[in-house]
Amino acid sequence: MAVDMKMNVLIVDDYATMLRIIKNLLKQLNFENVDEATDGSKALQMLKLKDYGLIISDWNMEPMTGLDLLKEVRKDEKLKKIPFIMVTAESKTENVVIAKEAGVSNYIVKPFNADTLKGKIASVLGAF
Amino acid sequence: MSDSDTRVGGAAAGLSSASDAVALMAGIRDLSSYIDGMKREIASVSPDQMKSTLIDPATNELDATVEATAAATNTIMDVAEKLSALTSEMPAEQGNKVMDCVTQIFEACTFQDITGQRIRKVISAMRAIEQRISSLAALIDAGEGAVQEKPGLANPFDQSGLLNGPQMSGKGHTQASIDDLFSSGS
Repeated sequence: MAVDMKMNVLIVDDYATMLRIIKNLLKQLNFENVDEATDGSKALQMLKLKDYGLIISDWNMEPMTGLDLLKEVRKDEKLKKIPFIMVTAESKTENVVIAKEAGVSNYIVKPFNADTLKGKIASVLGAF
Repeated sequence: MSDSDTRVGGAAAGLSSASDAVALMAGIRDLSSYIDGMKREIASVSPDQMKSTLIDPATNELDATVEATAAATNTIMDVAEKLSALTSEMPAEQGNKVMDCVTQIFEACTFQDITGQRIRKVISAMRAIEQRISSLAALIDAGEGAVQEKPGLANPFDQSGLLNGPQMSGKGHTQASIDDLFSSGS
């Protein structure tokens, strides 16, 4: 099934520069509707107001981390099936395991390039 | 031999010979002397002074580095976004080539996030070291100003004898103020 490039994508990062980079890379990949949130709690509010087809979130944020956001999403009946890609500079094995156990769909280690982003999105949404 | 040496000597009665006991005593005296020296070294570090002359300026410099690289990164991305918009006015082949270059620029800009995180870790480490030294100094009752700062500990941020170098935002002269000084006719 083809990926709907008009789907709403939510990117979450407390670092404005990183939000801008990911948004631009998604634009290069032809995703048209990209929203931004600067921490997990803001993202959670946005997720309850609009239908999203993909979440791409940083791990290290305050007050609500990406991991906490993931856990909240996975325990919410309406949100739990949304593909969730975690982006972080922390590449420790234990962190990957924790995220996996919490139900993350895929994991991107910073720094990353457009091909990596495309590959990870394809792995959770299908080829596009 | 002092009373305390005698007491220790008594405790060391299990040693095989008197010479062993003397060697043990000498070792303890060396150790005591070493600890005294270490206490003097720690006491010579004034935690408050270290904070104001070393740690705070160093973290401010690092903060300024993060801000400067963020500003530069945003400028680079502004230009990249403009280039990206221009590709719609180009023939497809050239447009695609330019878009590939733009993508590489965005990818490269992720360095700013990584370096920012690394610098913040260094700042945290410096704060932790400062706290540990303060705790250690308090532990041995060093007290602020108890001992003069060692003359050998030069302050790397004291550049009173040099040109000022890069200034923090809002500090020092801007190019405009320099231009004003030159055009004032003095």
